[in-house]
Amino acid sequence: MITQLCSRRTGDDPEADILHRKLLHEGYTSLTQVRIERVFRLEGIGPAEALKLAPLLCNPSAESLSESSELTPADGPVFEVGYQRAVTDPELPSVLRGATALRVSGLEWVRIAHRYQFTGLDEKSAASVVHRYLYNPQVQVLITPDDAWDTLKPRGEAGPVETIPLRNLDDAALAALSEGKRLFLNGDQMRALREISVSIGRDLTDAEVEMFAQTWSDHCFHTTWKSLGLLRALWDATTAIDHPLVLSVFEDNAGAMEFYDGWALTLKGETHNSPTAVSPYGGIMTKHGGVIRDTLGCGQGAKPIGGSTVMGVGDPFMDWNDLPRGVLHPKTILSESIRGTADYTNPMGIPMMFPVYKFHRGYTGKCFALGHSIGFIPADRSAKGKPRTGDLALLIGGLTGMDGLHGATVSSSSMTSETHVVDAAHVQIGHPIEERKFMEAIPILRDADCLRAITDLGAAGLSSAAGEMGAETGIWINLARVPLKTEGMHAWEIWISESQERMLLCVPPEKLKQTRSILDDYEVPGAVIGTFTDSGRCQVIFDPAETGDPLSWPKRPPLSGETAVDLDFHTLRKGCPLPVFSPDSPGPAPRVIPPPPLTGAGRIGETITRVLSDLNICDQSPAGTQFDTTVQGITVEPPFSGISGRMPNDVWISAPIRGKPFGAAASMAFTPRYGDVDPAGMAKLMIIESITRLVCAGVSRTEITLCDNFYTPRVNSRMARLLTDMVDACCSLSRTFGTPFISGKDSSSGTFIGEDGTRLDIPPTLAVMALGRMPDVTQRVTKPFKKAGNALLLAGPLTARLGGSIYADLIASDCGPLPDPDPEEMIVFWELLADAREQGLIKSASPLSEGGLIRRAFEMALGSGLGCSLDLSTLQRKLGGGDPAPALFGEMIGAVLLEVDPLDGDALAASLPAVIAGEVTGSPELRITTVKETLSMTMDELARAWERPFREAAQ
Amino acid sequence: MRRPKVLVLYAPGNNCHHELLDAFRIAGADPELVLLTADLLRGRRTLSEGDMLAIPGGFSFGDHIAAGRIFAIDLIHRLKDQLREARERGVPMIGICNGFQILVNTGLLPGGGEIGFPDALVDRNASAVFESRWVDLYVQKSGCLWTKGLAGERMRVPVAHGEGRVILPDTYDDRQTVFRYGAPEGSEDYPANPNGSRDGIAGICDQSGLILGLMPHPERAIYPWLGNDDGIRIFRAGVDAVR
Repeated sequence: MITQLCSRRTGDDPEADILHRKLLHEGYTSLTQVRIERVFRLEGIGPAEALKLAPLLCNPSAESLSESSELTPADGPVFEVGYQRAVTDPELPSVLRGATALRVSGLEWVRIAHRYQFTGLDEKSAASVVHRYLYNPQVQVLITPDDAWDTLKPRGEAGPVETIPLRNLDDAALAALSEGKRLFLNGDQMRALREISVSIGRDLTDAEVEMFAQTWSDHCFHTTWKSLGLLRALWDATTAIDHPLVLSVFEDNAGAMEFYDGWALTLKGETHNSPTAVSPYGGIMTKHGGVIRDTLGCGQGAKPIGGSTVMGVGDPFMDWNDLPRGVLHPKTILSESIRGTADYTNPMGIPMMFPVYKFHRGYTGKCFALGHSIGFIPADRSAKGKPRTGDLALLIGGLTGMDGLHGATVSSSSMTSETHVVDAAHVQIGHPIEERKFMEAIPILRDADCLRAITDLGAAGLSSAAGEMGAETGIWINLARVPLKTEGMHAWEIWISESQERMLLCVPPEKLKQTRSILDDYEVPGAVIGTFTDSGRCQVIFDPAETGDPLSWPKRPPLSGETAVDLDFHTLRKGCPLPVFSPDSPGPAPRVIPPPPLTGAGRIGETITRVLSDLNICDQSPAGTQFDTTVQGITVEPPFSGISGRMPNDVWISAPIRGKPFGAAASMAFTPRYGDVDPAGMAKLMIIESITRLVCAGVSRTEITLCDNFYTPRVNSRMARLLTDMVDACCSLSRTFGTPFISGKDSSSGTFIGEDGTRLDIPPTLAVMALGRMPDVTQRVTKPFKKAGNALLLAGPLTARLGGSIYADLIASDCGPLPDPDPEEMIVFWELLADAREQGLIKSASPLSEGGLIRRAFEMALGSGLGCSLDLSTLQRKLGGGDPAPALFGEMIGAVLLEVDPLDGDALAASLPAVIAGEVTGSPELRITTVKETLSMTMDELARAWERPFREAAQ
Repeated sequence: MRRPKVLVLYAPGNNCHHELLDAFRIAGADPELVLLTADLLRGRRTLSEGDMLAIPGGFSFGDHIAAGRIFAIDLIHRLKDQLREARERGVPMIGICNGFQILVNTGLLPGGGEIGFPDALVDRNASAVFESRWVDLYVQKSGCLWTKGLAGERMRVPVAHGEGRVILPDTYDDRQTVFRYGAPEGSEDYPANPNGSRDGIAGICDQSGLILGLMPHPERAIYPWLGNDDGIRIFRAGVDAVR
């Protein structure tokens, strides 16, 4: 018996109004009204019983409930969207729980759907709205009035494990197989697979072939980077530095550094570019979910205390007609990614550290989608755990379904205009509530000694997690024990499913009871699915008849039922042939071409306004304020602060030990424009910028660790050269500074191939996050100006170079090479800066970045309500010319704008060294004096120009 | 002095309980986390153990069906007797953010009627998006125990919510308003008022003044280095009133 109830708002309907406004904005101008109904289908109870659920399903002060729909077809086309028959509604457990509370018995299953009515649209336009904005064909269906339901419960039947004969296939047949199964393995890899099958003397199963395809993908195996020896190079540099605060590097899901009082901080950045390019909302959610699980799966389980979203997007104002087929408009990527970040990170309750959106035409084909996660863990729990024979494998979190099958292989391949259609299934859907539950339970399990080891399920799902965890001992898994949300899954699908919000625990058998009790307390579903053996083999069976007590399993349970995988770990780990790249020899250095000088107060003023309203540096708080920055009650410096709450901060600072002012500080540098000019030079600047930001705020330069996230186009010989140079620059600088990379990730899939074969490459991309600690956050230096009359100094490496700057972009001129600060001089400068800070001489500070001096002066004034008078004549002369542009807009990475007491100005100018660049003023305006010109602009007019562009782009 | 026992209720999806426990500890209470399902519904603990009750913010049960609905249904229909006993015993209660939404869903706030008959709504923000900001809160003259001695004061605390627009029934008595956004008489200007609540209403109490619900997060402003420690005054006032 299936009963249907419908609810709708009785007064205004904010959700419908929002959708209406959005659609009007998107051009559906004839739309006069949107109505939304929620449809509950309830199995096992009749109408009378169903109406007893009213208090659960509707709030009578704003909603009404009825047995039939109140949407009449005459008012416009109606579409109903629900979950597919094979998929369990995420809200099902909540509704069943509510029914129990209301003492409604007999309710067996529930499905929730939404009906949308579009008054004023014809059937066809309404259908296009539904398909574009309201319907995800991967997990949802459109329900028609004719759909008959005999049961709501998911149905499906699993097929048997199949073998795939490879041993007699020729190259052409191998290629056809790779293509047909969407394995994305090249000829060498397919031949290697054939050799494995020959060497073990049997056909491989479908699960084994799929597992190899996942393991050997660039995403999981880093084939490109391994081929070029780049991971080794970074590892070697970090090992050589042997930093005293570093506790864990590279081998775990995140790196770890020592904090205070017996605690450690963990650091990880993870990109999720391909899914985000295809489906930004879902892609971004899984980006956050994944990097948060990396933190939870670090050591014996760290608690996430900060997260970022760092996006590289194409021009949101580009003409829709210029958009390559198969690509989403950058504006869509931007607004959907903001929505996805809000809907995932806010429910997780993790403070947002950096919401950063950068724009570059190169990201039109494929965007850059990076998320960081900082974790907090007892230092003695920060090392990666090691399973022992006899330990149990416990899968916890959400149910396993068809989500994301083939995610790892697709994210490693180039996107094509067809990617949208063929691989829509590789985008997963996030449900943060599942992850939030185990985020609460994991630190408790850790502290109760329940976790020998823990890892997350991400790309390649269980096959990757269990494969990595069991590699030292051997592992046996029964896939029939995995709780499913989609009925009828093949064993191989369960094995590589990328369903989100799952973790794999390694639990000592004597701790199983306590583990189950803690998981039960925190309402985290979990199932024992296997055991760590002493076989050295990865053994995976599908046997529904095997239902014994895990505590009575033998050391090596038998391969009963169907065998999906039975391979030794030597075979699994070796094997992948690496592609061969021969890097080009270095090209000629860019020539310095001085642009025409900027003259005249009018033109200078206009240029200032245009620089401040550049999308990369303008007011991005319309996105940032949608993310919770203060949850957990530990945030000292949020991403935006100052009197208006809109001044972008240069660092994020948190005090994670409750009641104590110990500070964890992080900064991020990411300027893709520099990659166009000189990728290796960019790498150098990103490292210097991220460290300078921390030093400015009060972190010792010797207490900093780094995380790198590389994203490059598909590697050819030219890109191999550029990438190698970038990594060399990172290693060299890291060694010089003694600042180690403790975590990082690479992706070499930044290429889109259009229908007509045109290749769109992203700019070589590197984002660097620096993480440090400070003993007392109350001693930090903040950014807003403090007092009228104080002197302004520009200290650090000064240069007239404009290459790669926003200004160069604006005047569309090739301005030559990037700034190139001397690393040894940087070390000296950071030390001097720290001395000045310790003596209390620095009142406020902000390190230069994109947009140069004028941007920082504007922001420091904005954060304080004060103004400043910039006298650039000394600086201009020092930079060797009459052109004021380098002084105003030069992106002198490493240099810092400082506010000091006027009595200390001259002495500091001599000792740092620095040039005096003006003073803080009481009136909210920027006055600028150059060698030739004088001009004045009010903060109000500048702020108006600064706040507009992003708001429009993100609408 | 006696340290009153505060039960901080937790359900999956709540994510502000650690800082809330800390706030009560600083304020001189003895707070304990109590699990809605494992402790209360299974009878391991009862609400009667508490001198005070607190419901933290977050997204309980993923905000399924409606924000705070599932939590409230459990309170109303499985813990009704305990809840009624606590109200009759005069146990002060505070609900913050999602906790406020839950108290409204139970009918305890604004509290004209019986438990289980909600007559108000905490609706989508007027901006239609999540709002994470610092706001100025103005403490009203009300009979609320949680702001005893604080009337007329201004506090600066964070807000972080997508659904905070308070919609009240005609029977609502304005003397139940405990906090307003942006100005002493309340502001409807965005973003001083982040969600569009009429008359800038940020927090309300029931007629007894014992039960407080508010959207802003005073538990996030309890150390000077977190921006300020204005928030602690609310917890002190509440705790002081019962010991």
